[in-house]
Amino acid sequence: MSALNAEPEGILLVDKPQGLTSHDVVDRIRRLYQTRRVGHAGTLDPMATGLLILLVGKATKASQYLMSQEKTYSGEATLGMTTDSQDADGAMVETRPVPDLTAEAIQAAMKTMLGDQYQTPPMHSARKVGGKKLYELARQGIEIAREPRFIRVESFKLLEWNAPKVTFDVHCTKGTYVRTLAYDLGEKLGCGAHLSALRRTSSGTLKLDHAMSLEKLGSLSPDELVARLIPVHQAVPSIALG
Amino acid sequence: MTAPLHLAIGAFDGIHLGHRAVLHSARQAARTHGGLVGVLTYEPHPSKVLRPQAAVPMIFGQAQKTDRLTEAGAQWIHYEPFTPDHAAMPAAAFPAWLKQKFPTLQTIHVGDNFRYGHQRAGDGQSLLQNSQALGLTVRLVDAVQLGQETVSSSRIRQALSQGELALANQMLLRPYEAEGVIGPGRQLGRTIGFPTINLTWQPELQPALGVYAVEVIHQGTALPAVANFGQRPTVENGPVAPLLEAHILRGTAPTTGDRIRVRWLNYLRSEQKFPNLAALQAQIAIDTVQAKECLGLTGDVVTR
Repeated sequence: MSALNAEPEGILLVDKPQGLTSHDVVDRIRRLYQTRRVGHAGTLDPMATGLLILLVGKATKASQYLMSQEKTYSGEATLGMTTDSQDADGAMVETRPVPDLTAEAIQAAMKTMLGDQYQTPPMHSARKVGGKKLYELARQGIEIAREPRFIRVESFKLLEWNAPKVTFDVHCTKGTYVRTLAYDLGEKLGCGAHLSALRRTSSGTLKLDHAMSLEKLGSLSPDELVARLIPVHQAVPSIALG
Repeated sequence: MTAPLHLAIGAFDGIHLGHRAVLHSARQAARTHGGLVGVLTYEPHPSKVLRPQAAVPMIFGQAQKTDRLTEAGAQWIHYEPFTPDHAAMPAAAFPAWLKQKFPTLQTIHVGDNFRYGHQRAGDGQSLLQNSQALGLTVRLVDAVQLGQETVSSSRIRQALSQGELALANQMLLRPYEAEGVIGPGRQLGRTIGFPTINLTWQPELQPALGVYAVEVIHQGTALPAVANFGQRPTVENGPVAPLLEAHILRGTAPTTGDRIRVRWLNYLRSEQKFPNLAALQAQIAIDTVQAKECLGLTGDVVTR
């Protein structure tokens, strides 16, 4: 008898590959675990890779808590070119020459972006205003006023400066658009920038190290699949489940 | 000023448990050695000068800050204007600047995460060292832990913006409040049986949009109320600046032009759009019952 006969339940950590939407990953997991009840706790853009938290079965009740956790990412910004979506998936808006910058100058600019602040979501985002998704409006060339959201950038560290590419680590609150941070950094440096790579490395206490690729998951037996699920009580304090 | 000064220094946004511990340290020093409990803080917040595009949104404005500092024991408050010049002061020069500015200064009290001087180069340890030669005593006060979390202004801002009002209030000790003058409304509430008072209030740090159980404090009386802080998606076309509206559950409602304080006690639900006024009306009735429960009003009390 297969272990999938009872409805599976738990938290699954997936290393999302580039090119898939977060919802594509949800679909694959639905098929693997043979249940409709699968959700995720925080979108990764198609271009981004790394930790995607999936909630299987009754674990979907932990979604609000898991979504509210702080995130860490490794990323890469390319200076000198801005795009309409602020990342490499968008269309080019303009190019500007990249000045001779020292790592110290970039670090100093990054330091000014730390702390509590309001961030205006990009037009190319799934956030809804008046029932309409912003990116749907953006595709029609419409730009509307967006409500700035409270965020905190806990740390923003330069890993490597290899012109025109800036590699960085960032630790921020939920709802922070890293591509907007990349865009803002470009504006601070005067040459513009877009986010050219992004990898989520953790969300709260859950780490990418413990995530598995879709390929590897696909090769597991039903029993092994069930064994991959982390029980909700191990990842979420009971008080957060109300 | 001739009395010895025991000075608490910091940004003090919120006057939370950690800030109160720093003030307590200054109060103890004043009790032991005699003298005044003073506070040195900055106006505007340094981030408004150093990075105006991404300035830290303040939990409270200056009036509320003064009110809470006084309540926490400050007898004398100095708001130092934060200027680019001041920001350029080397950390090593800070203690001498303090001594020259406040000649009777005797003890300094700061949180253990206090930073000062150009590019925040000075910390608690360096303040200790640099102050000794000037005869100043420095007390570093540990951060306060609440359960698993460290109490901080930053955590409170996040909690308020996410609807974690209970956590924010615990950290603040005195509940979160809005203060302002009642403005004219569109008088739509009274047509559906829930007249409201409307507060003109635009905080830098915006709490989560939604419905709250509150007390409206008017001329020294606390009136239980249910409040909505939001953009009123059911009655407005498109996004507008959020408005704070309160429906008084018991007692005489204040009127337009009156100054009130709204004390936020429980977060009930997030703001949502209803298909019509009847659906909104039904939900407000539920909110009202919930708010009454939160505020300890029994079911048989008649609202006058």
